[in-house]
Amino acid sequence: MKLFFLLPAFLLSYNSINAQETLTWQEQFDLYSQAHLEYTSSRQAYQNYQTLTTREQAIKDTKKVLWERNETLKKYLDQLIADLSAFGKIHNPNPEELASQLAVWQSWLSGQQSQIDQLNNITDINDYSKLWEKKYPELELLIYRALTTHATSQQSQSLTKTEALVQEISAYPDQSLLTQKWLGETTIKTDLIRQKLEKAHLIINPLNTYQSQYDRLWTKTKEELLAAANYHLEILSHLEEIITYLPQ
Amino acid sequence: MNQIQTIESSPPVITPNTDESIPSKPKFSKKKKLIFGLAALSFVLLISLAIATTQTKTRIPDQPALNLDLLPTPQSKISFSPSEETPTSTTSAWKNQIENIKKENQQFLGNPPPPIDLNIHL
Repeated sequence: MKLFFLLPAFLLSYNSINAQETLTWQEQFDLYSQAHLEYTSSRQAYQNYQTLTTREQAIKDTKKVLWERNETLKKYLDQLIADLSAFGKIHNPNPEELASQLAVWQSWLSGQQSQIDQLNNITDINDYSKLWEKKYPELELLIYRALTTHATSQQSQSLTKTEALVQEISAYPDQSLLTQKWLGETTIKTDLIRQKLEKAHLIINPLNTYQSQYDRLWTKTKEELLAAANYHLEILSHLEEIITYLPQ
Repeated sequence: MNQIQTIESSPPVITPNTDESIPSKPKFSKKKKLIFGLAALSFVLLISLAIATTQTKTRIPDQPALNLDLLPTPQSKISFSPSEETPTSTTSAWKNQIENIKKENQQFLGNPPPPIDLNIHL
């Protein structure tokens, strides 16, 4: 008889776990944000009233937000690993190697979830939070390195295609001296792109681990990456123009 | 009173009209019949002509019978020799390649990590 009542509850919880597994990291981030609101509210209530009930509620909500935070990062890493794996081992730094390092961090985050379940009092929670806070910059640096590698790998791959196209257009018969000159000039910009991509890697570097403001470094890296992308767009527009000048 | 009796005693007798001045049925002359016949015929002809015109406008031309020998088999590839390739097709293929590279370049920046709270404590 008991089983009859327990079965729907089991099915409901199983479904919710399954639903959480299929969430995107953005959807998971929404769950985290909701949990964060509840945590803020119950922490405030505990600070105001200091009762046993408010304390228990605050502990419960804090554990939940810590759990959802790890889950959000795990989902985010899922996406990043998938993006990096698309490039394989062809570039330097190696996207596949970075993907495997991120997978190690994913396992670490999974291990943290069981630790969170065991936290029972405020001291334990605060100690855990401090340790996590110290550990996170390592992961953050790796994330930004992975983002940079993904962007540079994408750019390098596209640039290789553009260079092949330049070669193809250069072989077109009966070209004027002007179009030949223009095609030659594209190599100058190709070199500039490669310089920008290298510089982007130098900004987000393991040697800069003492830096804590990775988001600020990421802004600088993005500037280099965007400059490279703009040069690339200029080459492509240039090629479009050259094509119209070719003898028909 | 006498008059009424007279009427009752002698009921009116209806006799068939044999007067030829009132015609029992309308009779057409041969000429009129011919005119009516021609009008009906031309009406039928006009209707059939109108139908025929409409059908000609909407008619799907007969398709020639499919010659299965000319259809490419899944294994065979349609290929063009360089001499058959027109310069316009080459340049348009290049333009397509350029567009594709441009699209690829729009998606090179990934999402930064989610803005999580690092300082969660009680």
